[in-house]
Amino acid sequence: MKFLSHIVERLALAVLLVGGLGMLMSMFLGVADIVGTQILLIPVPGPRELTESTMVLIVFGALAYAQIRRAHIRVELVYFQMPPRIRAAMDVITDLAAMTFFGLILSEAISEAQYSFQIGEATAGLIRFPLWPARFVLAAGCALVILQLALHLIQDVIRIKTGEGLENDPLGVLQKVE
Amino acid sequence: MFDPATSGVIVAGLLVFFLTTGVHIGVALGLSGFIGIFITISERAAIAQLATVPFSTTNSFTLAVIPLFILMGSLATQAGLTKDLYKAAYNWLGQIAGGLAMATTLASAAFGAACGSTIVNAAVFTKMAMPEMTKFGYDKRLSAGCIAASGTLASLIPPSILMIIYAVITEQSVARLLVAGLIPGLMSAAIYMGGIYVVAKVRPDLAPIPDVVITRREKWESLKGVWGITFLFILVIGGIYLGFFVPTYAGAVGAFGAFLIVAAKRKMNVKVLVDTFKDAGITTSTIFIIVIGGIIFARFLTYTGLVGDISDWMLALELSPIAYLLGFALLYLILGMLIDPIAIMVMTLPVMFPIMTSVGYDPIWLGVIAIKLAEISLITPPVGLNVYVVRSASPVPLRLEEVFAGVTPFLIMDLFTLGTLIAFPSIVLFLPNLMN
Repeated sequence: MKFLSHIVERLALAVLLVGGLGMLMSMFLGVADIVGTQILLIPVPGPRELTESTMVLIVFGALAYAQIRRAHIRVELVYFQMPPRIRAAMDVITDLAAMTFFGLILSEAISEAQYSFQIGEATAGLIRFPLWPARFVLAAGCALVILQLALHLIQDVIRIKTGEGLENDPLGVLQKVE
Repeated sequence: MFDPATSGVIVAGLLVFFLTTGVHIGVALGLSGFIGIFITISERAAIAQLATVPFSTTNSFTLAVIPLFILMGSLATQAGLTKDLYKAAYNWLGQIAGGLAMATTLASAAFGAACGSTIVNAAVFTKMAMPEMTKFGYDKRLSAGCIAASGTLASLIPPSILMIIYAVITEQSVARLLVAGLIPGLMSAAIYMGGIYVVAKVRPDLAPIPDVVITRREKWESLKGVWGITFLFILVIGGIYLGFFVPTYAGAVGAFGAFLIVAAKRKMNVKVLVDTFKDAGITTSTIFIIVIGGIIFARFLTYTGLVGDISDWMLALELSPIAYLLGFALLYLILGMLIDPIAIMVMTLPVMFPIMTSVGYDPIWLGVIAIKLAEISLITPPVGLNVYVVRSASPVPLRLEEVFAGVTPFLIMDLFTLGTLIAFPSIVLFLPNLMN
């Protein structure tokens, strides 16, 4: 299980970093479009469409890594009042609910992506930017987070037995400023 | 199939169960909304939401402003701008009554102009300002309260993520809302600083003036570190205000400027980039999952006719507009004690926004009031998130009660600010009304 966790973490980090590079690309494209359109009067083709598709990569690319860090936002009022075993049980409910939600999205995302690929779905406008890669990215992001949630589920079920707490900082913010 | 009222009760119960068991807010909202549509309309309608909402929400040029402003904040943090801002504010204000606390407020407000996160703001300044104020004999409660409250200024001062979320949910202009937050944000900071000054004058033992001499030259030299962020802020907000670029491109310009500042400070390396991507990626993803879940939940409310029913019922009460506003404020303050502000907005605005605008409130003004309320809820017991952040991040031992005691005067100041903004809406609307 440790080996699988390690693989998923590496994969999640790699996808997140690709999303980060996409973020940088959107930043450069935005600046280039402003300079091109407003100053040089030479519009850059397709920055809006590229930014849109990159957004899917940024959000769904970081989904699994956010789950690894258990950074998704939750109501903690009751959670932190509970003893470790109850917290672990609550984490199990959280894992199952998230697996259901992302599982439902995944099943739809796969068929949407396949259909998009078949019909060659693209943006309207001067540059017809293909949309199917972003749709596959969405499906892949969901699949990866489900895998991570399954790993957390096993870990959390074991925690119910052992009563161990989580290593993560409960507020999930302090590591940001270390 | 269930009738809308019955399914409304079932879904509300489900949502409360999910939220109290700690299910991610976005998942709780999305799953409840999905089940609601499933049991009220049809399986096909429910599935259709899951097929369309996640892609249409993320594949959006308008919403791309969020990761770009988050990137700007992450890069600004990596550039160590907080240290420069604090040093400059400290050098200029440190020698007057309550000066160190005022410097913290001023630096927090200035950092809020680069970073839209109240949590990061509070955490960063706790690590930096708390030891400094403690060293010079400041009362721990005053120091902690000042940091926790000043951290919330990032919500109003543009670029504000909350403001963008409000704009998207209510279909208002992102640009006008961002600009609308400027004067109320600066006003909140000025009121905090005024309050600190009065407290320090009345009780000098709480905030002794440091016995350190800072020369005029040192003061001017400390400004060298803040020109970049000042220029960037003027460029981003000025560009939006003048209509030179759309908010998403303002985000791109802001992030690019912060990127150049990091590079100019010779801090750009692989580790910094990876840390920035991790921070910005996680923050963006967690926010968007709430927005996606919130939109699915809102569709349940709209498609089943519950929004119309609740609005009609509330409007039929024919209360005075101020009564509706008080109800709105109370709802936000109570929910804000328990739930993340973004989730509160996506959950309540589909119902509350039509009601509030029907009784005559301006949508832009309402956005600022909603965000001011969210700010207040971040430091209100029992779950003021910023209070917990300060306690957890503090290098100086702090009890939660001390931080809550410390934020109390700031809560009173916030209520004063809120009352002023309600009494004089032109404070909020003056700048956005000047925009084309």
